[in-house]
Amino acid sequence: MELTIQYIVNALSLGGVYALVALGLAIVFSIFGFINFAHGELLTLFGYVLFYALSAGLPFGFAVILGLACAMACAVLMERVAFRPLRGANPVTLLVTSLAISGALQVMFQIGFGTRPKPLVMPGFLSGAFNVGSIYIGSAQAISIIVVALLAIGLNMFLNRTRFGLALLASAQDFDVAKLMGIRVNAIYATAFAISGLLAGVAALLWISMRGSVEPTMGFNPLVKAFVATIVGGMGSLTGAVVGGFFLGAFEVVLQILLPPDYQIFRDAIVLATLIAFLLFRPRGLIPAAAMPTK
Amino acid sequence: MLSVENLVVRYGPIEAVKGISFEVREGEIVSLLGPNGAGKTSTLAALMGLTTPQSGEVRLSGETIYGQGTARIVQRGMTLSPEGRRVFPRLSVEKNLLLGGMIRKDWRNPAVLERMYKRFPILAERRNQLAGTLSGGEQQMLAIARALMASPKMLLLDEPSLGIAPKIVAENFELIEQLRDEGMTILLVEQNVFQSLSISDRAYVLENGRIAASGNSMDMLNSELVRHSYLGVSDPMEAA
Ligand SMILES: Nc1ncnc2c1ncn2[C@@H]1O[C@H](COP(=O)(O)OP(=O)(O)O)[C@@H](O)[C@H]1O
Ligand SMILES: [Mg+2]
Repeated sequence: MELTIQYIVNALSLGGVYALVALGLAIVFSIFGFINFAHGELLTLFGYVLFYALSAGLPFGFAVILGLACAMACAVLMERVAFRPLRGANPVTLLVTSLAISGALQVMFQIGFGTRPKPLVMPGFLSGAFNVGSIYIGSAQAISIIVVALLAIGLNMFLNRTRFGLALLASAQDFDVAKLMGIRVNAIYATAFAISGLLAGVAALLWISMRGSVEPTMGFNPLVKAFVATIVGGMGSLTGAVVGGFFLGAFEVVLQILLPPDYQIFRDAIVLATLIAFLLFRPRGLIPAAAMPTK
Repeated sequence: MLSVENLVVRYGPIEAVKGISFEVREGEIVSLLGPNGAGKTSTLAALMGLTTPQSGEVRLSGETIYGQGTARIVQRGMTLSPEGRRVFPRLSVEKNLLLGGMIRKDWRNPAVLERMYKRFPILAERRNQLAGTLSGGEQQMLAIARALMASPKMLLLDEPSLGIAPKIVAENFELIEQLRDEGMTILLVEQNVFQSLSISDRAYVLENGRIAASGNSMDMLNSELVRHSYLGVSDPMEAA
């Protein structure tokens, strides 16, 4: 029983990070119809900003806020410089562009910060652990579960209850007609990217506190997992992204339990095989977007 | 209310609208008629700031709106029910309406919605249905209602009877007249020449991006030339 709860905690915290990254991907996908592969580099950027801010002696809270601001600014910049001029282009063009941005940023990180991982020591409240009864819970895990729950609920309320949320849904469906409603569509798009940057930053914070270091390619793994999560959950559906993220987290934990140690290296391969299975047999995911307009 | 001078709309090398001038006075219905490809939709898109401006002068209540962003123009009190209805198919009827009234400070005010539902009872019945599941006629109603939600002073309608059952077409024309009687100023783009001339005060005929004829709707309805070239019948009663 205790072991089961322990596994559930692990699954929730891992799945939560995937869910956050997947949410960021899904918001952009729901508008532009493409997966932004440069999203992973937003996580990396957050990591480096946090690393250098802490090295410079900034207080932790301030360093986190600075990192989040940089991730958001970088996301907005991507939209403005790369994606907006391509508006109306084939989603494949956008996807390839995002891959190019991803590659370019990775090279810049390597040149600027070196290829070796930089150890990032999190403050005690993130790296510690506590026991509830006989269950051992890492504080990063606990915080991750709480933060993801709050962000998912908050985002849902924001999208369903505010003028912005409705404007975003409209802009995603029909660019010109959204303008005819008096919506400043460019501002909406920029805000959507800013939100995806914020989600990436928070995800990076949780991700780094689990792995303990920063390196140029660190955004790749969560990006691929989140990509799988959005497909499993249903492309473009925000609820689907969260469901897919947790599904994937749980799936990985189950594999960890079931696979003998020698076979653990196949975990990612099995996850990707699941992706292929979904693409073949349930391409619209668990919660398809069309039937489920973010409600 | 709305005055347009020398409006030019160009798509690359194609000049779709070749310097047209017209006006819509307060409280009027003005028809903008003409065959497919004449440049009617392009004109409306330019008025709403949807196409990048070429040249010309557009004034709404005396103020220049030419070259301003669409959001600004909507704020100034002009809205468009676009060609082909263009409702947001994957949003509910109610959300479509809320979007129409989005620029209002009181956009969430249920009284505004209720007033619209009173005018369009069928929309009230379907308020929680996805707009994409409505019939063509209902979608057209929704598109007009959505354009009315912002309480515009100037309403642009692009082919509100396109692809709709004749019974609903008649209802639509009645609605447009009723709106005028309530004080709305309307620019009506139509291919349904006879019915448009019957309800409008004045009309312009657009052909190949130029204004080929204009005048009092009643006179045009009775003019041999217009009847032959644009109504395609010799007796307007046959067209009805
Ligand atoms: N987006 C566009 N790009 C290029 N040409 C266009 C575009 N929209 C319309 N046109 C052309 O402009 C002309 C006028 O079209 P339009 O304004 O839609 O006419 P109408 O509404 O009177 O049928 C047509 O020749 C059409 O092919
Ligand atoms: Mg047209």
